[in-house]
Amino acid sequence: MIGLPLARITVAPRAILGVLGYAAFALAIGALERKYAGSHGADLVLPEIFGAVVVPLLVFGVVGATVLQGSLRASIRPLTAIGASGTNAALASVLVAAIFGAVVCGGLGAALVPISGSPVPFRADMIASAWVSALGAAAYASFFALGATFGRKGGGRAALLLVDWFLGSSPGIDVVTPRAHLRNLLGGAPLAHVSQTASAVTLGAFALVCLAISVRRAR
Amino acid sequence: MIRLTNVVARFAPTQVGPVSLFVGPGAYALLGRPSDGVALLLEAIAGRTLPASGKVEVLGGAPTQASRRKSIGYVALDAPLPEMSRVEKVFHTAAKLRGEAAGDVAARLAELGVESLATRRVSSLSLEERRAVALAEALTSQKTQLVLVEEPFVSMDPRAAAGLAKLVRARAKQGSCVVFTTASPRESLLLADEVFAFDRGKPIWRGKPADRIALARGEWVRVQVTGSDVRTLGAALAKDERAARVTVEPPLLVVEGETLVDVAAAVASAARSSKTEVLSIVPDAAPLDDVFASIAAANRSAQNRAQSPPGAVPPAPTSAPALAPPRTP
Repeated sequence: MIGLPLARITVAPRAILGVLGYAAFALAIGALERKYAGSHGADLVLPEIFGAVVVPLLVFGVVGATVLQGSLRASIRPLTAIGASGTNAALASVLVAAIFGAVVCGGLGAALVPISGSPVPFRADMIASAWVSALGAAAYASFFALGATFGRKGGGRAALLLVDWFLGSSPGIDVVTPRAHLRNLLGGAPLAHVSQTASAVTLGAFALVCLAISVRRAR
Repeated sequence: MIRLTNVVARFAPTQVGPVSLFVGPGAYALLGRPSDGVALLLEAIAGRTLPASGKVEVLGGAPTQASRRKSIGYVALDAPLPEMSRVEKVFHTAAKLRGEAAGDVAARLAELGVESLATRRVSSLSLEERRAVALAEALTSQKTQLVLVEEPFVSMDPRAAAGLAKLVRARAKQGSCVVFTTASPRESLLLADEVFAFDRGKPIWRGKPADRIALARGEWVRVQVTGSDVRTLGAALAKDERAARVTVEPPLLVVEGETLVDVAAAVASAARSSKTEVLSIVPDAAPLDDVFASIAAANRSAQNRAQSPPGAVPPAPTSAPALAPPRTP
């Protein structure tokens, strides 16, 4: 059952080009920042470019590829028509998008540490950036998958991207978005009264709760 | 196999119900236009739409349960299939999901005459071919006990359409339940053992197709006959009292009579006496509007007969009227 959603991400040229494009953008910005900011470029690139822009857009594209740019329910119909349960098919689709996004973003997050400039030794920073980026990507994947269960053509996915963008930039109410917590964990602007541990737990909860609701709505 | 209890399904602007019925193995037609809610009801039976009220039970439980989904084959009008695969791979995936061996995929497709599609990519198939593949998978799987098809002859590969009736009848005889929606009384005559008619979302009639559909043209049944020599056959039929009216319109012979049995017997007798060959006998079905008008008229006269004497207070209606099976003559 994972074959179909995985093929939609890895075989469709639009999806793969999107992933490569965002990855190249992040790495290029990282390299430029290191050139001008020296050994502390990662302090800016990771939260403000990678966490705020690249991760949400890259995962938005991955989820979009998985649901064929439409609704989650419609995207699993090819499997339910031949005997798959709606729950299992929806779960497989969202998990594939989440794991794929986590692997790609985790790798990018780790790579950006030395590329954009970070004090040596940066092994610990690479490990931290990797798991934080992976967690953020997984949370975003579930978040956008939930959006894909609203609207006849899954237009809720784009609506949640906008909600995340605007609310995530508004102090005070940004805590309801993955954006604020991801930036908090990547060393960006701290959230008022929210520790990094709390942000990590919140992102994990986002991932699980959005996954559960989206699977229930799509079955 | 399917039990509906006061089911109401809604998907704006269409609503269907309340519907209560129980059916076992066999082939059943939900007769009506999409706006009459038949497609919506089929989706509710398949578990793709949750009913607004009432209960849907399929194979003893909710159709959304994983254990039941593997026994249900659903062929929608757009027949979605895993687009990244070849047709053979789709059958193997379906077999895995249903918990059975895929078997000879080409042989399964050959039951509907579309074995040439086995090695094609799903993304390269036309809608008609995709529907044929989906139908072949659903009807030839040993695990599917319930097959639901939207408008089986609409956007269907002509090779598959030719073999469809035979395969549906065979599956129904093997103990499966095949339910299809159609706005064509002719299709319900061809495929269904029993018809459930819906008009503007309300169930209006349940019965054998020949009881109402073939009789909907005035008082007589009408059949179209093709044969080796329709003129000679027509001349022989004109002498038979059971054939009330015979019209020769080569290559067709149109015969009208009181019942299908009478007309069929008259045709067989005429073929023997004139030594001509009969190639096909197809009951002529009335248009859907005529069928519904006939049903409405029959329902009205049944209500008039059942009405209480003048002055008596009629009993309040209870819950949804159950679609009772027809009385056998």
